[in-house]
Amino acid sequence: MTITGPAGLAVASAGTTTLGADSALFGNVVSVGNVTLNARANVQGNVTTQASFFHQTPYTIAGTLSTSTSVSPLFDQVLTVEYPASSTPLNVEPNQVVSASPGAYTSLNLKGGSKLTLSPGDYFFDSATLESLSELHVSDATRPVVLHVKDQFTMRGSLPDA
Amino acid sequence: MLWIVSGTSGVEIGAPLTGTVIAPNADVRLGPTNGGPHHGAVFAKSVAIEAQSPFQLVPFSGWEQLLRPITPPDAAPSAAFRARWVYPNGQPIESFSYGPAPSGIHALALGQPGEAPTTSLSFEIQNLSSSVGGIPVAFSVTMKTWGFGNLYFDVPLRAADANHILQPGGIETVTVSNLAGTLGVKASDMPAKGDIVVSLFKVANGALAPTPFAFLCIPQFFYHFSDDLTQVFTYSLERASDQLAPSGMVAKDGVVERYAQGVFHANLFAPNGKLGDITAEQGRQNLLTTFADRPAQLFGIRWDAAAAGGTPGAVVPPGAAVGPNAALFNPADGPTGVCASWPTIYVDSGDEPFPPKSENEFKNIVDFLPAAFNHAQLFNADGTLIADEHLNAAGCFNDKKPLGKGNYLLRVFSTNISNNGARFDVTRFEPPQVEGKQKDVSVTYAVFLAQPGKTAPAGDTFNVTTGMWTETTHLTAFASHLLARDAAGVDFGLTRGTAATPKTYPIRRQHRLLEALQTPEGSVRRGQHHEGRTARRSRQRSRLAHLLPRTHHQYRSPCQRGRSIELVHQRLRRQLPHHVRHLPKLS
Repeated sequence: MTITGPAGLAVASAGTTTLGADSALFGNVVSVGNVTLNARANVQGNVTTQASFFHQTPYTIAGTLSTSTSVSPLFDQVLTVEYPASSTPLNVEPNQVVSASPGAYTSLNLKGGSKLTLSPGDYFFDSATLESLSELHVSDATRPVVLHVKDQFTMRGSLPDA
Repeated sequence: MLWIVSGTSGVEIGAPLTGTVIAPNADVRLGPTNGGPHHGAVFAKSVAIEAQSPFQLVPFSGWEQLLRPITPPDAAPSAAFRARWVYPNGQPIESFSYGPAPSGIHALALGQPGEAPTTSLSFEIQNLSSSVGGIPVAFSVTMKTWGFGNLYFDVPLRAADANHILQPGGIETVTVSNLAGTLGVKASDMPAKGDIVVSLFKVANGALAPTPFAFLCIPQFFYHFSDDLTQVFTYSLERASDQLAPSGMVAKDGVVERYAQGVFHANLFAPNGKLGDITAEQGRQNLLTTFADRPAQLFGIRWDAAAAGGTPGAVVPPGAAVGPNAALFNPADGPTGVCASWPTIYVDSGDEPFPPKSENEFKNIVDFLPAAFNHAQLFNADGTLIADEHLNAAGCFNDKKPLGKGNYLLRVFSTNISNNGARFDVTRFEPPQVEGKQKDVSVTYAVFLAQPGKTAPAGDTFNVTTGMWTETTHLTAFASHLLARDAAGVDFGLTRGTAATPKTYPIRRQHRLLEALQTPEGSVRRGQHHEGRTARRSRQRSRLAHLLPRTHHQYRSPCQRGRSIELVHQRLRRQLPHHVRHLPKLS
């Protein structure tokens, strides 16, 4: 598979970063912990780690490999999320098609075959699960949709136009 | 689409991802897609991309809409910015009483004989680093000029530009290349003064905020300064302390000494005073010709001092020759109102017995306060008393006076105030002396009334404030100069009323930074969780160390942000010196 796109920060990890065999990543990797590339892993960008680099062979790093390199120049960002109170789940049953507005929900559950369209804005969930064959759409791709998930997040559905 | 996962449970991406995932406390696993690649980006505690998992970077496009720049109070309530003067050679100007060692050739005013005049001026604006609160800002620069014989006017030196950002830690130099022209100096050797204000603007989504959120008030400077200050009691006019000189600088003589040495280029009031190559009288006539449209002009001020609690002596005309007496009153012109104002900085505009008319001027940085209830005298040019009374609440003589075209003397005292009114105290605090009131003062203006009564197009009243001409001031500059000269040396305070304990306001601490916080308290949005009963659920705090791009400053949910801002403002109200926001109420 040919992957094209702009180089940039694709993966940033505060811990370790692992790319599996035959994985391909177009972008840069910045990792505080070790970076491991398994066989035939392909990074079309730079790899920077504050720790060590491990790999199987063969592997590809098209850009620069930097180990034991401080990543401190990147901005130290505090993220604070305050979850509003809610008692309403957002459950979409199989083959159901619904829309939702920004707000707080106890959970997000998209069953197989369901479709949910979100308006731009902030959504707050305790947990989120998108089952296989579910679809999550956005009504306006030009404006951001932010989903805050307090804990468990599993995504097996598709995001066709996210 | 942006997913923000606060918890620690592992995140499983078992289908092609489209979006950006932030999971600072969780391990993220991107499984085999069995289809198209993942599109997006992942910032996480750890990341594992399983075999056969292509990943294509697609940056999240909504950062700028989501991540609002933090405000300075959020970031650094004590001081987010600073500004400082530098000479064209880069030497910092801590006070123009100091000159770069050893020759002092960079004094702003004409210095010792043989010195070249300063023709340009540069200053730096330095943004603090982000670690101590600096944020990206756009800025505009305005010089408010006070050229001799001119009304003040604002000269925009630079407009704020959303595409020209001063980043945290950055330094930018602004140069005024044509200093005399910018100051509006239109006649030979006109003295002038400049105030520079840097307005700081936030930039959001590529657009400037409509109003600045803060101002930097940079210490003013004089150019060809030539007021008659020989009788002024102020320690700023003494030689500056060597001990207070910045590193690499040496103290230079103060204004009085330099004036006495004749190096300030002119004595407008001396019979044989010179303005460059012309006499003071010729200069005066030139100005009358140049600015014939002015209803009145001032050709000098003179400060007289007495011991604290004493009374300044008899009026002393500012100079031996103030000009001939005025022409006789012409009833066809009607009488003329005469008012006086004290200019100052940081004036309370509350509803206390201070004069109700306190006109904000220039973004509240400089105010003019009517000399309400002040003792004032009006004389003919020969010293014949015309009026001796207390001004009214508006700072005007109670009745308009039958004045003809010509020369007058107006004297306003800082003491003997009949009611609550404005007065100035000159105090000193320079070790080893103790802080305290030192002198009472009066100021005498030499006024040339060019358009008496209704012949004046702007009305039949003119207002004199402390300066070389009408409707403008030097005292603000004077005070600023005084304060800027020696940060540890002098307070120049505005107070009111004889009943109140004289107070001085240590503006000296502000002489390099004036932040006029523009956010009215009422505009601060309260977060919904701050209002009371709305239940607050547990709040997740996550630290995304080193992950987000630099341009993304801080994200807070709207309610949290509103509450934070309010708390910051509460803290600011406690911490900021009172005169930044307004002078304290006096009982």
